[in-house]
Order: sequence, then structure tokens, then C-alpha cells
Amino acid sequence: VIRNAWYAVGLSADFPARKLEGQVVAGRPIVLWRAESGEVTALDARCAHKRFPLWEGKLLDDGSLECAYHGFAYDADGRCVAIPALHEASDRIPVTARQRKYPVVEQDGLVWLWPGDGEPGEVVRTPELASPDWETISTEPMQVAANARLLIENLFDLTHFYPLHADNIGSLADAMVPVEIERGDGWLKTTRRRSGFTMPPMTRDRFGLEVADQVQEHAMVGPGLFHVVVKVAPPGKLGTEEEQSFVLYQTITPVDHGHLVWRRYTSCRAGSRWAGSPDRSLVEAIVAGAPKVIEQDRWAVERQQEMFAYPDEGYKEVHVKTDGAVVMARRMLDELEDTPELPQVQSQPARRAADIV
Amino acid sequence: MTELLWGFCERCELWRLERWGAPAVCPFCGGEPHPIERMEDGVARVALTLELPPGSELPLLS
Repeated sequence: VIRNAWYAVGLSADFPARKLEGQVVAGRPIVLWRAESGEVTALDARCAHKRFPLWEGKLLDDGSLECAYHGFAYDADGRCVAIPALHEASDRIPVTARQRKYPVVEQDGLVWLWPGDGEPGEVVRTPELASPDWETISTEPMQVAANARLLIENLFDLTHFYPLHADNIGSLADAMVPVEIERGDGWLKTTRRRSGFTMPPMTRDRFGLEVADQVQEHAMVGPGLFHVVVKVAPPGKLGTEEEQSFVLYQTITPVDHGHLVWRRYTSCRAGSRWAGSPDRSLVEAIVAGAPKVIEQDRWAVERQQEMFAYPDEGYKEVHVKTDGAVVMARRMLDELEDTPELPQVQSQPARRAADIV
Repeated sequence: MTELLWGFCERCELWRLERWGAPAVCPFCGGEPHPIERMEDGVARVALTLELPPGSELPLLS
């Protein structure tokens, strides 16, 4: 698991005032809430006293977070500010009663957390998500019982459209599309260009084109963010006002070696219409076609993950030429890997709304 | 960005990240990599030139 990275923990709207949130990110249990200052704060969720999970606690009137076990209370910086058992005038709060505070950045409508020990870098911008010029639909976070790498590989690997997605968006021809792979420091991108092809029924319904040119870009811009851009236009019209497009940000947040949380944010330019249902927006059309595809991808990576329970004993994966982007992504992630051993947890803790006393 | 480039060695049946030399030769088997990356403005690029049959379906979502 890679800890020295920014990972999405939700939308800004997922953090209303006085609501506690518990998450495990890269093997670290973390309690989050929007503090009195308006900023989202993230602390180690294990109470410094007896390891009790602070996401089971509650926020007090003074803004501090009270542990539900012995009542240790912590401010937004992680300092212990109250211990009910210490009530003598001479008692003092131990200076070591302190929760680790994790870096958080709220940007473009997303909340990002850095679970690592290294110095945080810049958070990649996702401007469409916060722009009134774009209409965005967010899907509910999806828990996936697989290592984050398997999903990243799935997102880069378009040759799996047949047979995995053969009943919706895939075809045998998808394994034969030209791909250009580009890589720079910390990013990897594939681009597929097609000219003058006949659109399949679902795509024709979305964009209202029988024949089109298309550019499709898939980019990993860090271990936690995958960026997809699809542009479609009548032949020869890419880059003109006749071009239609959508942008898809996919955040991949590792829980541990065998679990991740997958979030998807789809954006189209405001005012773009669904050709087949003009009273509805284009972004609705894009999102409407996604659930079955997503479920198939989840099914595939979870079944792959199960096979890692067996020792290799001579097993070796085969590379084929079209695996180029997947192999490159693996190498990039290998170089970022910083936590080889982590216990596995079965699921994320439930979201909790804190009571106000 | 390093001077290491990705290339696909068909004889080894592997994508390899190597210093291939000029002309490019696989340091393990002596085979010729195809395709192989080229550096342009600090970005490494490689094209997999496969063909989509006319009229084939368009995939949209990953």
C-alpha cells in the first residue's frame, strides 16, 4: 500500500458541521469532522488512552471530540483537553495524550487526506467538479474487496471490454484499437483516437451521431486519482463547437492490501443535452450507462484478488503487447510503494452522525 | 525522467524498462524490441499501432 499520496475521502458536502466520519485509509484508522474553524480535521482514530475508536465518540459543545469509553476529549489539533477521571486541582493532562493529526486539503469540492509520513506534495486540481460551467454527478462510494492496484490496472486495460463488457459497451474489436501511451514524472496516460466510425446504439443515443470521430484519454495522475476525458464530434469536427465531451474523475482510496473505496465523478459542460432524451442532460446519459459496467469491473477485480490467497508456486503472469500501460503503471506504483505489510480489515466503519450534547 | 525506456521484447515476451542502446537490442536475449518508447520534451511515448475494423463498436467507459 502506498501511504505517501493524497487520497480522496469524500466530497466537501460529505462533511457538514458536527458530523463525525470514520474511515480507514492506507491501513490507518482516521476520524474526520468539520471543525469550528470550518476546516476538515483528521486525527488518528485510536484514542491515545486505550485505543478505543474515536469515531464512536461524539462532538461536545466546545467543538472537542469526546471518546465514548473514558471521555478523553481532543481538540481539532489532536490535543487532549479533558480527562473526566482527573478531577483533582493538582491533576494535569499528560502531554503525551495527543492524537496524530493528518494533512487534509479541501479543493475543487473534494476532500483529500495524506496518510503518509513523508512531506505532502501538491493536490491535483479537478476544476470541473467545482465549476458552474460543468454539471457533475457523483456516485456513492463503492467498497471493493481488492487491492487498489487491480482497479488501476483495470482502468488502464481497455482490452478487457471483450468479453467482460460484451453485453454493454464492449466488443471484440476493442482489443484491436490503436493506443498511444505517454508517461512523465508521476503520471501515465493512454490515448485512443478513432475517425469516422459507426457508433453503437448506446453511444448514438447519448450523442446523436451515427458516425463520429473520438478521442479517449485515460490518465493516472497519482495512485489515488484516475482521469478520463472522452471527446466525440461529427467527422472532422473535433475541437469545434460541435464537439461533445465528458470528464470522469475516479478516486481510488486504499483501505488495506485487499480493500479499496472507489468514487466516481462525471462531468459534462452545463447545458449539454442527452440526444436520445433531450429533456435530460448529457451527464445523466453517461452516468445511466455506468452501473452495470462498474459492477462487472468490481466483480472482475474481486475475483482476481481472491486468487492472491494461493501461493505462486511457479505461477507467472504473461505480458502481451497490449498490456503496456498496465505494466508501466505497475512499475510506477512499485516505486511509490512504502508499506509492504498491513493487516486486512473487512470493511470500512459505518458512517456516523455525531450527537450534540 | 530517466533514460530508461519501455520496450516490448517479443522474444522474451515481456515489456522491459531498459537502456536499450542504438540500435535498440534486448540486453537479455539480443532481440529487437517492438514497439519501443521515444522521448519527446521530457515525455516518453509509445504507440501500439493496431487497427480497429470499420464499423466496430465504440467503448466509452472503462
